[in-house]
Amino acid sequence: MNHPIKALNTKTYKFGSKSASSGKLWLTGLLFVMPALVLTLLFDYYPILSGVYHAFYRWDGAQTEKFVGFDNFVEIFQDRVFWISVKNMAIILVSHILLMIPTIVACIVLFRLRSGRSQYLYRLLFCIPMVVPMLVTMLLWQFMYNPQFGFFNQLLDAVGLDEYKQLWLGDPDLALGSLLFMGFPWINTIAALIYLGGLQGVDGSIWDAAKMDGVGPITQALRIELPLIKGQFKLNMVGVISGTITGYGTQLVLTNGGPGNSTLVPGLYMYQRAFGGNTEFGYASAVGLLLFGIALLITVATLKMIKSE
Amino acid sequence: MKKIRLAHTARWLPPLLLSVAIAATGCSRQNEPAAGGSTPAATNLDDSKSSIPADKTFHIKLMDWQGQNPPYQAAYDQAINDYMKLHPNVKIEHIFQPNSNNGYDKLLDTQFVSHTAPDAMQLSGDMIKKYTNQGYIMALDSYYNQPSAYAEGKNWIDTFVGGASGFQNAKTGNKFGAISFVPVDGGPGLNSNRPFFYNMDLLKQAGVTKLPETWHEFMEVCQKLKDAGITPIAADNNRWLLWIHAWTGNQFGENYINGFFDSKYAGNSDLIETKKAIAVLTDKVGTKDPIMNAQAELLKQFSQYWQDGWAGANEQAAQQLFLYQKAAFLLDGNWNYGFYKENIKDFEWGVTPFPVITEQSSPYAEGAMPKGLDMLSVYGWGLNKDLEKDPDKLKVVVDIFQYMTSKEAQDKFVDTAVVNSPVVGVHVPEVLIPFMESDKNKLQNPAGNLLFATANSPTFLAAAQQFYTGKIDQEEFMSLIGQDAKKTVEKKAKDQLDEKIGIPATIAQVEKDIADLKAENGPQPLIDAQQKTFEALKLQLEMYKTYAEPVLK
Repeated sequence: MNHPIKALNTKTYKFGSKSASSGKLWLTGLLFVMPALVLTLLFDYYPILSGVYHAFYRWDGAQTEKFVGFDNFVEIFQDRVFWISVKNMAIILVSHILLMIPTIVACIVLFRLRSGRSQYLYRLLFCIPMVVPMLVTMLLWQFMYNPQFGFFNQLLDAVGLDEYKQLWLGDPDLALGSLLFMGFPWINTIAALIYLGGLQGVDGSIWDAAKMDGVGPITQALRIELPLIKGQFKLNMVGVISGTITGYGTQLVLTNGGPGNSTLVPGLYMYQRAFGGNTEFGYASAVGLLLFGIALLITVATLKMIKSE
Repeated sequence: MKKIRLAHTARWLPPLLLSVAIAATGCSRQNEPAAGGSTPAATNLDDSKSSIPADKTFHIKLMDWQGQNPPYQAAYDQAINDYMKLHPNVKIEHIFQPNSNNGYDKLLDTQFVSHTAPDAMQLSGDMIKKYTNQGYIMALDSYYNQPSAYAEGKNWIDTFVGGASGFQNAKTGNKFGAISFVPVDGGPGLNSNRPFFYNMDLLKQAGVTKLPETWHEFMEVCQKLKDAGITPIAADNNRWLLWIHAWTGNQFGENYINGFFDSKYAGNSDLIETKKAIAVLTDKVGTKDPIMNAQAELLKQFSQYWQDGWAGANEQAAQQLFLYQKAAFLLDGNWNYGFYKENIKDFEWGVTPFPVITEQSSPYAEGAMPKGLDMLSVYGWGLNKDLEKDPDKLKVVVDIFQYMTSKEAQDKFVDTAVVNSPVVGVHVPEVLIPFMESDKNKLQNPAGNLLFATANSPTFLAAAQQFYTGKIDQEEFMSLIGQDAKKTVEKKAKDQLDEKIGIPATIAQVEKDIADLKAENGPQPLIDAQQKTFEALKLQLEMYKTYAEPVLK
């Protein structure tokens, strides 16, 4: 007869039984998690909830003044400047979605490079610009757009095309386009690495089969590679949508929403209303809540439309 | 067993230590008692009446944006170091926080909420109004009405130019009617003139032999420059627009607003802001107003001389344009005089007063500049209200500012900073003359620029950028500004009439303060000051009820 060897100082556990040590284990785990949980609640959730709460108040940021119900939202819907900013945001959103294409194309080309060394070299070249702080890049572009000293007008001068010199960020008709042109050729390093990771995770037999079937490079891209990176595309798409709808860093640094509101976006408008002379934090909170709703709706709709395979 | 117990303990220790560490980050060390306390020997200034405790060490934090202006930074550092020599038990940390892109007040917004703001901080007029109304900086009336330790027994407020009346703008600028800042750099008369820095070489190149004194002459000079292929003005899309509107607008409409109200409200400087707000609310000053339109026309004509692409340029870009000799004129303040003196080596330059707008340029012009001699600008240092929880520290901070605004300290300060002083009897450096008030400064209550100044700043700037780049016409410009200005004053009027948050609540508070002061046998000057505030608030409420309430209904 075999008996299981029972080690000293161990206990056997029956299903469903409680013991003091499992309770202690749970508590220990909780203590490890607690700092992160507290910080998340304090610095992520509390500001969000506070913003939602204050969206229904006239609040100057110091003392909660007056409950106004939906007055802030009514004012937003009647605010001409807010709708100008929404229009600009819509243009930027569509452009940013279209400008995802160069990154995808670059990834597919990079993925198809036969030489492992070349692949590595190009990945490195993609990543090196990441070490430059974004603010520095923006200020460089601002300087390049300077009508008097900037690179673009000086280049046009140098090639004898000075009649095409522009005011760039100083022209209300060109300022938004100038901001969109920033970052040319629009290859997003992080997105590129995500796509590459997706493509490299695919079973190699698919490419062999495609080769045997005589599939051309463009057909391969459209029918095989693109569908296979739909999941990664969705991930990047969510990032682009939320970043575009709520973001305003570029506009704040380069144009402050001008000239004449031509580059104003809702996020920046919210910032101006909160931190401008009249400190309308309540109104700004209402704009923020509205932006959250818009971003959520568009993201959910987009995810439903794009089904991963 | 012991090993197991230790192992159990060891498992608990890391999370426990981590939790304690996080809890401990909220604590900060307060003042520590010094080991031994000796009163330092006085230097030039007699601080024998200085009442700061000598048996404690104090760590004081002062924050400003003067790091951007080396002469000002040097002047403040000098004053701070001199004070610390006088009081070795006081350690002052002079913190520089840049003011560009609104970084300064954004930081203060979060610091005040978290009660981590410095003990005192430099503030602009808008910031003083904002933080006073929000209750983050102290009302200093009681300190002003007591003797300064550095002024031979005089009340602190009497050491400033204009005395108590010099602070009139300060009191009307917030809802409590309180003086909530200490002016240290920049006295009255300095901001009465915002001159143009000019490039003499470019002017000579264009054949300009005489500097313009009137607006008409200035336009002629700009045209000559333009004809010579030289950009006349280095402009930007923010500060330039605010300044050019202010400095032209303040030459229109002397006493214009008074004409809309009962004569009993005339001549009362406490009611100026109320009258302006009500004038806009009741359409006395609206989009068709001839004075507002005259100013807009004048500036539209002027805008042809601003550099191409100015609407996309910030202050630094405009400054660069001037420094690289691409533009002949740049509007800037005395605080940058030292910077230009240090950095401009390759061309001849100078400073010329802002031109006076005469009837030759506009039939509505007054032919004079605003007078400011007896009024201090609302600009200076605010004291953190949290100091009230530490009376000893508060004494020290007040003492620091009484020292910095003593005549002796200011005489050194103005030479280093190249600024004039808010303190009586301090000399004016010679290079400052073009920045100072002259016999052309005569206007007491100009009303030009009223509509533009009442609108929200972002709205005004956006509309101005569109108007001066030709995207919209004057009618649309005035309409945008007028609508926003009216909306702003409507909100303000409703707030002012509100029983809980408006003037009635402030009146009740001031009444209570007066009663408390009387009950405690408080100083009579303070009671008088509060009484004056009370009377002014009553008049303001009366005006809102008489003129604004009917419109709001």
